[in-house]
Amino acid sequence: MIVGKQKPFEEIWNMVKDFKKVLVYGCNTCVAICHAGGGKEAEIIASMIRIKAAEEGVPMEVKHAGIERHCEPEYFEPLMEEVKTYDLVLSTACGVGVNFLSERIGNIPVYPGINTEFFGAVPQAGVFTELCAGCGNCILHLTGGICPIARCSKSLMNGPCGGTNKGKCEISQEVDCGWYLIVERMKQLGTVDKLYAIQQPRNWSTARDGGPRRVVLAHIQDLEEEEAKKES
Amino acid sequence: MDKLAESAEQRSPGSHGLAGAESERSSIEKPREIPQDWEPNILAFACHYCAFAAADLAGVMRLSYPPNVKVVRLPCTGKLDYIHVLRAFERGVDGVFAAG
Amino acid sequence: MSDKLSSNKKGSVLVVGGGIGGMQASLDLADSGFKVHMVQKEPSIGGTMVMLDKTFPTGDCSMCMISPKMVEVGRHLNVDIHTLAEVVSVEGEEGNFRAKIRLAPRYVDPAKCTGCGECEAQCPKKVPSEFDQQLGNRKSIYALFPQAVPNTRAIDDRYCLFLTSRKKGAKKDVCKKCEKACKAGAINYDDKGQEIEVNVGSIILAPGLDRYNAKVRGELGLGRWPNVVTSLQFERILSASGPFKGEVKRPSDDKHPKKVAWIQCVGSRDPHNANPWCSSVCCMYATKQSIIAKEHDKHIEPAIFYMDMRAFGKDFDKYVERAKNEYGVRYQRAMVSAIREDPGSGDLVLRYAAEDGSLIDETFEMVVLSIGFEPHKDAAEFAKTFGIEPNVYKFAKTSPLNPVETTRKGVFVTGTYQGPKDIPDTVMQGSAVAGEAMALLSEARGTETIKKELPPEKEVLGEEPRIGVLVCHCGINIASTVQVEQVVEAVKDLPGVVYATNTLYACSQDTQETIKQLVKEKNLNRLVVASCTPRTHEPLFQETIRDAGLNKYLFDLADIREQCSWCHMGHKEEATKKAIRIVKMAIAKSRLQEPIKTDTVGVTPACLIIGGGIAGMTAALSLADQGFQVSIVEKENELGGLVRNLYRTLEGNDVREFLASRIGQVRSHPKIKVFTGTEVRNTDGFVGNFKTTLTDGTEISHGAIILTTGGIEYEPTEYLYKESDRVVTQRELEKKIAAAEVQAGNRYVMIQCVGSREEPNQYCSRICCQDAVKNAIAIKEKDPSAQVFILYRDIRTYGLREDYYKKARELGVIFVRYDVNRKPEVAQSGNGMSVKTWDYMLNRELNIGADWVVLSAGFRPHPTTEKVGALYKVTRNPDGYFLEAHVKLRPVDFPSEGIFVAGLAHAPKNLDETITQALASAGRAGVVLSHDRLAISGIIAKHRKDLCMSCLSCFRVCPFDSPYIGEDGKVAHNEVKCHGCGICAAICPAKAFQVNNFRDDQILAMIDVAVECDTSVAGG
Repeated sequence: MIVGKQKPFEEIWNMVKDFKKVLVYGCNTCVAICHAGGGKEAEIIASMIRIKAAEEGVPMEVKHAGIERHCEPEYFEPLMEEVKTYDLVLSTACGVGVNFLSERIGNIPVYPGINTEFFGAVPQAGVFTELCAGCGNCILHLTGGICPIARCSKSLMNGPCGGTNKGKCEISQEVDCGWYLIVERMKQLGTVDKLYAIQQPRNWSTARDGGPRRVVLAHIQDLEEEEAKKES
Repeated sequence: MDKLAESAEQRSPGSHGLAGAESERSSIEKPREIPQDWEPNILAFACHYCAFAAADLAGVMRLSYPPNVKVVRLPCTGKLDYIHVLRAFERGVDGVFAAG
Repeated sequence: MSDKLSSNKKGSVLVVGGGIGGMQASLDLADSGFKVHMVQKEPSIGGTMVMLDKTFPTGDCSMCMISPKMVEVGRHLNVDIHTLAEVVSVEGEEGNFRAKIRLAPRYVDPAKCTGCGECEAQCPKKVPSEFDQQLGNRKSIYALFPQAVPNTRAIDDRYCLFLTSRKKGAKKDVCKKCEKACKAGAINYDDKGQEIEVNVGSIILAPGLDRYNAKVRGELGLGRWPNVVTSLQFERILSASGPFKGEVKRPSDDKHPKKVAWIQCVGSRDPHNANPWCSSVCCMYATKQSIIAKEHDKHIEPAIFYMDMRAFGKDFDKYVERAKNEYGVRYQRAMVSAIREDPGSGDLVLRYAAEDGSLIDETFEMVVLSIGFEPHKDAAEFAKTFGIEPNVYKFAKTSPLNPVETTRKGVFVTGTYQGPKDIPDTVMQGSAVAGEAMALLSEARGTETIKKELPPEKEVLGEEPRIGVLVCHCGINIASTVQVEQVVEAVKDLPGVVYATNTLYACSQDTQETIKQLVKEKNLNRLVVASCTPRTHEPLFQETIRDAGLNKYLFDLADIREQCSWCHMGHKEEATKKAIRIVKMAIAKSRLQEPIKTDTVGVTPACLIIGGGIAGMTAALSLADQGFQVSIVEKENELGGLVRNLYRTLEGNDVREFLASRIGQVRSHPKIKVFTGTEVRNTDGFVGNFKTTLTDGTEISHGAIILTTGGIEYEPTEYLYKESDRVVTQRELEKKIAAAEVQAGNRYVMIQCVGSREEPNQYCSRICCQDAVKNAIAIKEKDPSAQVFILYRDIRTYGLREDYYKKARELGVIFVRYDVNRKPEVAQSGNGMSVKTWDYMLNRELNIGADWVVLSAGFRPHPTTEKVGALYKVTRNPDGYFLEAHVKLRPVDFPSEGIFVAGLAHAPKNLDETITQALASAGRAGVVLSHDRLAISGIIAKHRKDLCMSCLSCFRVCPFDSPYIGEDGKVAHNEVKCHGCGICAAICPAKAFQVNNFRDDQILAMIDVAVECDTSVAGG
């Protein structure tokens, strides 16, 4: 699940204060579950903006709405005409949603109401933890199911480094050493010998370093290629 | 609830550019002079089982207090939602009192 | 034969006493199909608990906890409360008693009185208030306290100016102000009282207690020095609704005292000046009072003078440690011999002997005497009336093996009349006696209770709101401050309102008829009454509109008395404006109200009991006698649990014989199935409908569960246990004594608190002091030449057990106190042992040679507790014992309905207490199982699956586990478990939950009206 976090209100206010008609637009999937940007939070932010506007004496019309998902056009297209009547859309969807809506909305700016953090697990109510970095080349079978990219602060492939300290990472006593966890887990699985194999330097082109990524299902790709051929 | 929303980030301090900004969170309201003889308009949210009962007892004991407070009864203060509080402020209430 | 007998049994019970114990028994019985007659001597029910300010350890307000219970008793269709009443005679026998009850004149007609209290305001005669312990005044026409139930006032004919002068033969009418004030015409000076007779199947005695009159101990100065108060007076001082409004002040000069001393055991543990028994509760209430006092005023320095700190109950020691460490309460082990007042200052000089014998004078600004309990002055008469035997101290005579049975069959006893005890133990006994009566009268269940027949509900869904508004004058209670006509005028034309009017008393009987008429004539589909608090009066009006064919949730009550007229007296204009606003809020909500359909679920009339120790077996027998199918699941291959190691009780009862007969009864009872060598594999369901699979594959359907998983004895690792065969536990010694294996002339050194009262097991195991005393007495009685030393930290022979402590001392048992920081040292010495310990009296080390070192090893929770807890999703306290729903008022319940706890699984306790709690759990389970169907409350959260994202927020925060992950892997909601608190609705990011009648749109509509600008106020 994508985990988001509301921006400080001051930052939001600075974004919206020069607009006259603002829609706070929530997304009722991932960011709703983490209480950051669902329809409910959109309503809260809208209310806060209205209060602030009244306080500052700025005439402003602020409404809120929420749709199932911002990352698929079919969800927001039915409302698009109405959305286009606003001067600004403050989207509380994740960054994907902000980009996606922005591409399709035409002349209206779409600003982010939340910071998109990571994709994470929800071990308990209100707690979200990052366990995967989405690097595009999964090696969890080699590391006992614990990701060295996401959970080692240095994303080392052959750890731990000299900064490991009684199971904690040198950057903070609050942060577990990812490699310590890997070793302990592999001991438990009886596969610790696998760790003696040196991992090759990693090819980061499958991750963000290779530029924006795109996944296309094989049969769709075939279709796309056919289309391209026809056109040429 | 507040805690839930705020504890979303559990990273180490310093690893995040906005960690510093958070502590300087500004309030929506601007401080201003309180005019003399000004009576605030207060809305109370009270738990049926305790605070609402306490408000009743205040009456039974004929304790006198200014009439500028109205009570909305809730089944439990756990039912209180952000939007209830915000709506009250949007409508111009001066203070919200949640008791339970 | 049995059929003939059963036909004579009555389905009703007489409960004598309306304190918390009597109330618990009454509610349990009335909720499970029995008619209850409650007899209470005072004009209101409530007893002692209502006088307390707060209760420990939670610091909850006592009145806030008990008041809803009183209202419940007061409104119960099947509880008849007779106040100002006493039973004068009892005839008949078990199953069929006839009791004569004398009702003293009240001089106020309950049928007419609305409880408005105007008479009390006008009454000129002030009388010291019993409720405020003489620290404040009441009137001669009065309610015992503001929340009194019934709320009908009573005239005290000892003080009433008119009645006393008429009695003296005055020709002219004096006063009569109450009669003039009463708009309802309820005053009846010619009330003569009456005598009634009730025919009941069983009698429960819950008369409560008297408190020791500390004036007897003149040296403590009560009544002479104004700043010496009793502990109950101090409760009233602490109470926010008390005479000092919660400010800690001295009576003499209103000064805020800094140094405050509590003196323990005033009237207790003192056979010469007072009572020999321990009152069981004073150590803890003094600790609580010192903490609360400190919370009220941080400058207070509390000091508690005590003999032994008897913090023997669940989590009590932790509370005392908190008092010491977090609140700085000073605990001074010393007897205070005299108090004198420092002339002029009003301060008090306490003289006491330090432990080393030196005399100390110390000055305090205020002194609280921790007065103990005793039976009522007329206890001997009382026992005679009911034909029961009292014990030597005039408490009801009971046996540890039948702790709530009196000597007369069919007559049971609960609370402090059975022996000194605290609130949870009283509540437990309340449910226990209810369980006993249920078992006794099972075949007559439901024969005398009333059930109301209701007309069909009118379909209003989809109709435009047609609201009727009724604004109440409440005599002059509202009308003297709020301009009622203006309120009517201001709301009568609001959208949705089709009719608005005012009425003198909205709650009077004739107004109920008027309301029914109005609903018909004006075709109303909603009703708003503006009068008093919904907490007491909402059910009345709901009932009325239901009688008129409307769903009862189409009603709303606007509180313009307690929350308006009464607190804004003298501000007519503003109060009227506020009242209008409050009524408008109610109307705004009313417009959005919808009928709420309440559902019911079936109940499987069977109970599963996990654990076949004495608790499980006792509960099983009681429930089986009530007529329910019972399954006992026991992990071991035989029944009996820990009691198998016990031979005699402290009081001398033969435990082995008792156990054998219990097992025999359980094995032969046709309604009980026993599964030994078996455990629960998995379980599913909810109250009334559980399904459990055992490890042997058996599947059981049942409506309730009782967890009696028991405890284990701590196996010591200290004091050379297991290293020397001369070091044994009390239990092992008991076995040796029973087998006559002890030799003459031996010397025994017993060490208390082994494995108890120390981190990480910071709790008292409650039974070890008695065990040591029991074994010591047995040894000394058999062989006076034997020597017994008991090395202790505090001797905790609470209640009537104190007798045996005294007896042990008289037999020559030597008690030596040790400190936890200076524990005894045990060493091998030749054939025997030697024990070194510091004697604080002699102020030197003792070295005691011993043939036997006996360790008083405490309890631990049974290892299965954790597993069972996880299985049933019930929580445990940090020590691993099951955590009950509420430490004071729900001592055998869990927050999840239909699951109960008894015995050592709950906390360490004595055999009689385990039996009591087991009976209580059977009583509580009986309430659930006696219903064919259970009604689901209307005020619950409704879940919309179409909106739900299954994010688990609700699942994780619900205190009652009502959201669950369904078979489709998505979140679903079990409405049976829901209490309607709405925490789910507040946290749900999808707004998939809404609480009936507290929906967000309703709350927002109220907020909008509450804060809108005041321009529209008519006449304001």
